Amino acid sequence: MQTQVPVPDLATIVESVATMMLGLDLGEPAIDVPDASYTIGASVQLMGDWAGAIVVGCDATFGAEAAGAMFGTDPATVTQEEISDALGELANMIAGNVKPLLPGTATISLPTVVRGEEIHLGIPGAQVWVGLTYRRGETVLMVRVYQRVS
Amino acid sequence: MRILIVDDSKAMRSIVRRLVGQAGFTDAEILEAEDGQEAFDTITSNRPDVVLSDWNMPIMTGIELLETLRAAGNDVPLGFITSESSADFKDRAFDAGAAFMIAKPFTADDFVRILTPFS
Repeated sequence: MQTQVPVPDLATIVESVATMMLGLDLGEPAIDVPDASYTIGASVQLMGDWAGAIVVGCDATFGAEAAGAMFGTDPATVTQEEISDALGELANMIAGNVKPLLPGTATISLPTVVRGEEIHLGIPGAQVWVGLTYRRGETVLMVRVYQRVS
Repeated sequence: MRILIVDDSKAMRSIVRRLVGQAGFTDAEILEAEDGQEAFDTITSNRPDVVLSDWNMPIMTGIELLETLRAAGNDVPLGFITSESSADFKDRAFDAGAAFMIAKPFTADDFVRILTPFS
């Protein structure tokens, strides 16, 4: 069983990354709906005294907006590879800012990114510790911190 | 000034390149590498004035790059731009000879602060 630690202020972390690196105002978050589906998902594993993962999910429009912001190009012109790169880096930055709030030491894995239709994102052997969903018009961004329980 | 940006993420290299320009270093020559091994080869052949490196990368990590450079007698100033901002990573970086660390997310002001001494 893992040490009980305070839940990180995920909203502040996510909104800081979005504002500074994407130039996006995400607005107010809503409680994440665990069974929602997405078309792009990125995850980064945290391995060490505290084990878990950061999972980011979004729709194609948000993915293109994020990639366009990172590459400084029109979202309509970004490639699937650039969208995957951007979402992986988003997950990586969130993981890096969650990690110092966790007990002990941990290492951060390289990002893994998946794309498809109606992807249901989850981590076997782990449960959602804290999760948020941001809706901007028709676009959606979900961020979850999973804690490994087995 | 010649700056080498090392990151396996093309998106992050693009952001760093753009913010270096926004920080006022518009005349800087920017080189890029995708991992520590490619960076080592680029540093050896192109002799940059400063290296801005990610920490987590495939093939050769940023800290392995720094340790390899110092073991080879190369003292090029190298700093990390990384999500790994916890105290143990900072200690390891500075013990190995890192010139600075910038935590992601960052702003153009961070690049003014860390690049001005090398300009």
